[in-house]
Amino acid sequence: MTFRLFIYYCALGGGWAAFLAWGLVRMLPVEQISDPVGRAGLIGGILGLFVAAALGLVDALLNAVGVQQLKRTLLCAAVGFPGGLAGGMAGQGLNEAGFPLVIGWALAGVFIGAAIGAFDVLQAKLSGADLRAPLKKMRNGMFGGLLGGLVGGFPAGLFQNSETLPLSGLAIGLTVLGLCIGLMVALAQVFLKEAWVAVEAGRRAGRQMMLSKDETTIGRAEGCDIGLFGEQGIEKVHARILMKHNRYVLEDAHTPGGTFVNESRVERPTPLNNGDAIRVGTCLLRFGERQKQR
Amino acid sequence: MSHTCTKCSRVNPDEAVYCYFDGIPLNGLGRAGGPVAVGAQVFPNPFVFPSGRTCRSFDELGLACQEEWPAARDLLQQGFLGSFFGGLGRPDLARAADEAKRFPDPDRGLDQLLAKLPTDVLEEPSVRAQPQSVSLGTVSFGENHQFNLHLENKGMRLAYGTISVENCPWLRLGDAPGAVQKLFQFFHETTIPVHIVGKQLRASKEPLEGKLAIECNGGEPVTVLVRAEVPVKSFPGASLLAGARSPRQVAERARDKAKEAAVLFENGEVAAWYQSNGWTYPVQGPSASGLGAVQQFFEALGLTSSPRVQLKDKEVTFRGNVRDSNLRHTLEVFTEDKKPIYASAVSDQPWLEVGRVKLKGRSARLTLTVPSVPNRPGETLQARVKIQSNGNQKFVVPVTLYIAHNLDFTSPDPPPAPLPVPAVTEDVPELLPVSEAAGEVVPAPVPPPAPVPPPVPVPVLVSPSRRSQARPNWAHAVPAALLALALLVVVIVDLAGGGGKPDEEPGEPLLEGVEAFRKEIENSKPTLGVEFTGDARFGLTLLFQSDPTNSKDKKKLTFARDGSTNNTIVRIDNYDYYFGKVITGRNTWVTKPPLKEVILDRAWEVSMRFGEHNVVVTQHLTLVPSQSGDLDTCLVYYTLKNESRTDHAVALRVMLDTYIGANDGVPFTVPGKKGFLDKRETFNDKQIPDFIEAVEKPEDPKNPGTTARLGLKGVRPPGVTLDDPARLVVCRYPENPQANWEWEFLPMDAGPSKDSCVVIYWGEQRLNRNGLRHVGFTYGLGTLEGSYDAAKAVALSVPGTAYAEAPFYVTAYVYGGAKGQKVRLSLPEGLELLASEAAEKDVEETAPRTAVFWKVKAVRPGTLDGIVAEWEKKKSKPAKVVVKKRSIFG
Repeated sequence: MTFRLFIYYCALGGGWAAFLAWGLVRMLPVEQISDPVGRAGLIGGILGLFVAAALGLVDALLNAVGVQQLKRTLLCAAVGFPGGLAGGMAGQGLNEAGFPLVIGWALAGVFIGAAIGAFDVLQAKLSGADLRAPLKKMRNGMFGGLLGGLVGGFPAGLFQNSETLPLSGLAIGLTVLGLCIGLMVALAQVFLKEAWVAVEAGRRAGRQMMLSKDETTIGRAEGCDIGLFGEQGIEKVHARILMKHNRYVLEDAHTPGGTFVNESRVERPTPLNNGDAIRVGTCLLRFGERQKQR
Repeated sequence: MSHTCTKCSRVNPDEAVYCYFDGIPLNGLGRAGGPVAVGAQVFPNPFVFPSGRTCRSFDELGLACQEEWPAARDLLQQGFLGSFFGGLGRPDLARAADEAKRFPDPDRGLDQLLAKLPTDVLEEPSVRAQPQSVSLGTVSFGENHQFNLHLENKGMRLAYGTISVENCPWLRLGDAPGAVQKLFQFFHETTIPVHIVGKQLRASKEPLEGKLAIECNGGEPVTVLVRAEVPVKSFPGASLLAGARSPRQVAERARDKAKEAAVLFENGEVAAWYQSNGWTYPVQGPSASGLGAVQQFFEALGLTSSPRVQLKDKEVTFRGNVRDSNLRHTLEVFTEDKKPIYASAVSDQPWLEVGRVKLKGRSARLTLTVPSVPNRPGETLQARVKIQSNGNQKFVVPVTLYIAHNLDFTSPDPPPAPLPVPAVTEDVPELLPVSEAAGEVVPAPVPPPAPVPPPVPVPVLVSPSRRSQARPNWAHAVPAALLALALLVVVIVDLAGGGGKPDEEPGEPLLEGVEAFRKEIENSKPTLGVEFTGDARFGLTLLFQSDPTNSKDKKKLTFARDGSTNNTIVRIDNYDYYFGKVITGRNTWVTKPPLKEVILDRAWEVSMRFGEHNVVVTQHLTLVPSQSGDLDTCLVYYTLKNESRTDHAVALRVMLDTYIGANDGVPFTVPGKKGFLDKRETFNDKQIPDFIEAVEKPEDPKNPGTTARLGLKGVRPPGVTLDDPARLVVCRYPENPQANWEWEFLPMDAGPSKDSCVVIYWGEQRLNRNGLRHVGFTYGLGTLEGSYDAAKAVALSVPGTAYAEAPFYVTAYVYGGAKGQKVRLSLPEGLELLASEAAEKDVEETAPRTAVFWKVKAVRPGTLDGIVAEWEKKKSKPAKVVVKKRSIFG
C-alpha cells in the first residue's frame, strides 16, 4: 500500500466505520438513555470502537503483516472504545458547562488517534525497547485525531441537529466526523513520519511502510515488520533497521546472500541516509527519512 | 617571593635557584655567570621504571624514555610522570605531562613531553629519503609501475610528517589505488610504496617529471624527483593520417584532404589515437558526421572560427496524460554562415530523451522524446535540454511537460531521492593550444578523473514488478461510492418519513385500533359539551341536563363553563409556563388556528411551542363513550415533545376546578379509602388511586344527582401510553385562575363555603431530542345505580367501561348503615372478585353514607349486566359494565 492509498483508505475507513457505528447506535436503545452524558459517552464509545478499528486495520495493512494485522486492529478497537467513551462523556460534560460540543468530538478524535500508536507503544513497553519512536507515532495520531475532531465536528454538529433530516442527520454527521478523523490521522502519520521504506523492485513493488519502532525486521518470516514473501534469496529474518543514537542503521542478520546498501555489502551496522537503496535478495527497498537535527 | 629571570623575564617559584626556562641562576643564588646544567641536576628522589631502571636526572630520564619507549608511554598515560614532575616542584613539566597524556596519539604525546624536558641528550629527529631521485626509464601509456621510498630517522625521538605528490596526476602514494598525500610516523625507518598510474601518463617528447615532497618534525623538507619517458605513438594504420605523431600533423593532413579525413574523425579513429597517447581529445561530446566532423576538430583546435549558430525554438511544451507514450518534438539548430554545423544535446531529466542528431549541412535536427509520461497526474514537470554546437556554443532549452489529472491510486509516491540525472558538463572543453614557435600542437593536460558515481542497482538482479497485477483504479472508488449510496438511502428514507422514533409505536394493529376508536366516537352521541377559552382552557357541561340554578343553562362539571378557572402549567427545565399563554416570539401556537377540531363536536387539539426550549405541547380533548354508549366522558391528554437539539426536563400540572350541578365543594370517594374526602388530601405515586368519584348530592339517596368520575390511572387511549401521575392533591380552589405550579393547599371548607379542586402533577422527565411523553386523565359521568327509600338505601357505582383482565373497583354506597352490617356483592358471569377479596364485607362506620369497595376483574369482553349489592335485604339496581379488549379507561 502506498502512502497515498493509506490516506485515502483511512479517510474512507473512518467514514464507513462511523456509518456502521451510527447503525449500531440506531439498533441499540442508545438514544433512549436519558442521561445526556451517558448517551454521548456511549455514542462516542461506539464511534471510537469502529473508527479506531478501521484505522487500525488500514494502518496494519500498511505497517504489519500476518497475524500482527489482527492484533493491531483488535488493540485499536480496544483502545478506541474507552477512548471514545471518555471523549464523548467529557465533551458532553464540557458542553453542559458551556463549552462548544465540538470539543467532545475533538477529545474523541484524540483518543481514536492515540489508538493507532497503542500497539507499537505496548509492544515496545513489553519488550523493553526504546519508546521514542512509538510515542512519536502515537503523538502524531493524537494530533491528527484532534484536528479531525475539530474539522469534522462542525459539519457533524450541523448535520446532527438538522431539523429536516432527523434520522439521517446523525448518520451524515457521524460519517463526516469519522471521515475527517481518519483523514487527519492518516495525514498526520504520513506528513510527520520520521522514516519510511518503499519497495521499489520485487513482488511487492510500490508498497510503502513507515518505521515506527527502534527495530524493524526485514525478511520472509511472518513476524517480520517488512515482510517480503515469495522473494528469492531472502532469509526468514534477513536484515534489521535499528534506531541507534537518533539515527537509523542497517544490520545484516548474517545471511549468506548478504544485504546491500547502495550496492555495498553491509558487513557491520551501516548508517542509512535519505534515498539509500537497500537490496535484500531480489528485492530493492528505498529508505527515506525526514530531515532532522542530529 | 617569586623570582624573575634576569634574562628571559619569566617568573619562577620561590624555591627556584635557577630559571626553569633557560637555566640562568636567579638572584645570584647559583654560580656566577652561565646557565647551570639542569639536565644533569640530581633529582631529590630518583624515578624508577618498571624494568628497574633508575633515573636520577632529566638526562637519564630522557634517555630512559627513548630506550624504553613503550614503558614510558604507559607511565605517561597512567600519570606517573606528571606526578613525579609535580613532586620535583616542576609544575610546568607536570602540566606538560598532563597535556601530553591528553594528546590523541600516545606516542606523539610522549614525544611532545620529551621535547620539553630540560635535557640536551635527546637529539631532534632528522628524516632522510632513499633514493633521492628515481628514473623509471621508458614507460608506455597504460602501464602501471611501483617502487618503494625508504625513509630513515637519523636523529632520536619520534619522526612524523607528510609526504605529498606535487601536481602530478600519475603518481600516487601508499597502498593501491593510492593517494596524493600520506602521513607517516616512525622511530627509525619506514617504507612508503609509490605507484605510477599508467592511465594518467601522457605521451610527450619530453620526459615526464613528478615530485614527492617530504615534510617532518625534524630536519629540512626533502624533495624526491621521479622521471618517466612516455614516447608518442604514431597514428596507426595505412590511412591518410598514418604516421602522424602530433595533432598538428593530423590537422594539416585533414585540411588538405578533408573529405578523406572526415571518415577517420567520424568513426572515432582520431579520438582513439588521442586516447592511446593519453591525450584529451579536444572535441567534447559526440562526434559530428561528414565534413562537420573535420570542422568540429578544427574548431576545437582553434584553427578556424565557428559559424554563428541559432536555435529555432526557444522553449518546448508537451502536454499529455499519464502513461501516454512517445511525445515528440524536433528542435532545429541552424546557421546562416556557409559552414557545416554539428550539435549534441542532453536532457537533465530522465523522462525526457534526446534522440540522435541529424546533421544536414548548415542545420542540425534534434528529436526530443517523452517515452512515457510519468505517473504524476496534475503536475507540471520541467526539464532543460542543453545543446552544444560549433565553437562550443551552448544553448539551454526549457522543456515543460503538463500532465493531466487522473485518479491513479496504484502508483506509489515518487521516490524520495531524485532519479539519477545524466551529468551535463558545464565546462568548455579545453582547446589544444597551438605553439607557434615549435609548430606543434601540445595536447592539453588530462584533467583529473571525475569522481566515481555510486553504483546504480543492477536491473537484472531485481525481479519484475507486480504492478500489472494491482487492483484497477476504479476498484478503489467502489467503497467510497458504496458509502455515498448508503448515506443517500438513509437520507431518502428519512425524507420519505421512514425515520420514525422508537417512542412511536407504528404498526397495523395500532392503526386499526385508532381507526376503530375513531369510528366508535364518530358513531356515538355526545352528552358532554366542551367549551374553550382563547388560551385553550376548557370547561365541561352536560348537554342534556339543566343547571339546577338556572334551567336555561346546562349543568356544569367544571366551575366555569369555558374552563377559565382551570389552568395547565408546563414546567421545562424548572421554568413554568401557562399552557395557552402566548408570548410573542417565544411561546406560540403551532396549530393554526390554535384550536383544531379533529372530529366535529367530539375531538379537539391545540399545540403550543415553548420557543426558548423548543418543546411542543399538544392538548388533546376527546369525548369517549362509557357503558351507556354515549360520549359522556372527556379524555384529556397532553403530548410533550422535545424538538430542540438538547435535552430538557419537562413536567406538567393540571388544576381542575371541579363543580357538579350547583355543588362547588363536592366530596370525593377514593377507592380503598375509608370515608369521604371532603377536606384536603395529597397522594403521591403509588398512593394515587385509579380514579376518584364525586356525587352531586351525596346525602340524598333518593336523588343523588350527577356522579362524576376522574380517571387517573390505567387510561389507555389507542396508540398512546400515558404516564401515571406523580402527585394528586384534592383541596380548596385557590381563588386564582392564574395559580402557580404550587400554592398553599387549603381544605375545601377553609372558606365561607366549600370549594373543591383537583390538582394533578406529572413529575419531571428528561426528554432527548425528539423525545415524547404523554400524560392525561379522564373526567366525565359515572353511574350510581341504587335502591332508595327515605332513610335507607344501597347504590352501586361501577366504571362505564373495563378492560379485560384489568382489575377495577365496584363501590357500594350504603345510606343509613351501621357499623358491622354486612354488604354482599353479586357478580354476573364474566366478572369475578380478585382472590384477596370477599363477596361479603362489613360497613366500617355508622354514618349517613358509607362506601364499601370490591376489587373485581373481567375475564371476558362484552356488556356484563347484573352487578348487584345487597344490604339489610335491600338490593341495588343491577349495574352493568362494558368490558373491552382495549379500553381507554381503567
